[in-house]
Amino acid sequence: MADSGPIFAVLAVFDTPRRLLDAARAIRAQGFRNVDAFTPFPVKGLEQALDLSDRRVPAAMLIGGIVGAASGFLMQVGTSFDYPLRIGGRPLVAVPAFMMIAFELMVLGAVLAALATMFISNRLPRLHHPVFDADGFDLSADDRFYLAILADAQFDRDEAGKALAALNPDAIIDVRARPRA
Amino acid sequence: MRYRTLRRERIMVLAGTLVCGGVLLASLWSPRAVLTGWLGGAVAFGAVPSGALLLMMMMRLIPGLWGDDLRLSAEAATLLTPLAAAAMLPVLVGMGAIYPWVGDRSLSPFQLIWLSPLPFALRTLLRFAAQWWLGHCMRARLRQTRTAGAGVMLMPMLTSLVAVDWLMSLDAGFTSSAFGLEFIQREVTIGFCALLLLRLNLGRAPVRPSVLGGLLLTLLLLSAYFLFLPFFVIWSSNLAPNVEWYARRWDLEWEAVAWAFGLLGGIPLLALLFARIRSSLAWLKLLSVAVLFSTLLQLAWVVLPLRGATAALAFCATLTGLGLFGVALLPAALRQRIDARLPRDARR
Repeated sequence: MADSGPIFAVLAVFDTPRRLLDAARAIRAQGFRNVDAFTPFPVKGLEQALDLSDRRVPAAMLIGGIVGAASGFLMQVGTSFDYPLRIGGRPLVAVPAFMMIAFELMVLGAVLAALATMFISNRLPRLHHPVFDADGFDLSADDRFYLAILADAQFDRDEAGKALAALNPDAIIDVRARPRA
Repeated sequence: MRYRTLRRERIMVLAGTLVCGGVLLASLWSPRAVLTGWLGGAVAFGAVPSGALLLMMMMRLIPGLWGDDLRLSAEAATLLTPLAAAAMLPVLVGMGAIYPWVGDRSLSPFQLIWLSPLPFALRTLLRFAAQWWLGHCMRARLRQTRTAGAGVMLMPMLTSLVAVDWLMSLDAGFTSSAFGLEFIQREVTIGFCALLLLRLNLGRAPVRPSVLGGLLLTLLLLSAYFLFLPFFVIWSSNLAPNVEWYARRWDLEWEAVAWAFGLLGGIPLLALLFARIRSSLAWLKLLSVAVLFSTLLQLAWVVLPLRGATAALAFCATLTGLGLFGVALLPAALRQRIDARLPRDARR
């Protein structure tokens, strides 16, 4: 574990999802805004307790879908004008026939935009995270629930530590960022 | 099985009886138009128990919150099956006036056998008998998984047959392999909207309305698929009888109807993409009414062209009459199902 370097976060360890949820609500109510949690499985209500309201992925899907559909449609219009084939008296811009490709490219555009935004938002691919250095953090994939107050410009270690200690966690762990080599 | 009905429900049943009686009397004056309108109304009413049965069997095979929220309402709706079967009786009696193939000797040998009154009536009877039997087994909650598994295979086959008989054969030259599935999708949509309205208007609020909103969205996407794809295939192949079927729906009135059902379905589809709307009870109520009207207009668009304004009037009157039966009897049937699920000594 890195024991030098700037502090990254203070972690509190809980043994049940209910205690984690209560702790998250209490910490948020005390005014801490930069809060995160690490759990072995999705905990119902945690998203609301941490006030996570990031809508970037659905917004990106909407934009990706619109761009995909429009480009699919316009690509067919362009191709039809470049290589005009008149079939069965139908117009060159035959909207019903163009709908299938436009739909497929809408799906493709939406999916690619969602994946790209998810990767960018989560800063992936990322091979290391400072919390991995916390003692026993591997239990977050087993049966322990971690609440983290992340360090920011207004961060006060003592204030964060006291706030977490008041919630009677199983342990409190300081996480330090590795100094850059 | 006892149905306890309230006074206002008895009044609605009486009003429904008067309206339906009036339509049937009018059929003596103009049988072709009025009975075609009745056919559309009877199919729409029959969609409630039939769609509810399909949903109930799916709830068993794909359990989840949607089943917890809609199960009893679906059981209640399947109790309307005998009434739906009775509503088809005027169609069986008056099929000579409704269908152009009755007495037509120019049909192919297979059509002459398949499209004749007795096989037509037998297929209708078989479908309602299977529907009632499956509904009875599901309500009794005996061997449900097996019943539901067999039912979701049997009902689409039988429903496809009656879809061809009841609606597709209104135009003996029209053929579409997706017609049966389109019919089933329409039945499930009507059934789901009816269940949703029943559930949202009676008793406690659903546990997760967003799940029900998501289902409504799925049905709307299916509806868009089934409206577009047969049109696209027929438009591409350019086969004369099928193109004519669409051409008959291309005049000003029917184009207006198409726009109306497109907007009544399309706007809810876009609205339901928003999570906040999917989980709002007030929005769900409003949108399910819009989708119900959209689906009824689709049905009118399929059944009524070339049958005149009288048929449209008869369709509206039949919907009103049978709708009054539905509005009165669904809550009574729901009370019956709640009683049936109570311990014996707690029943009223």
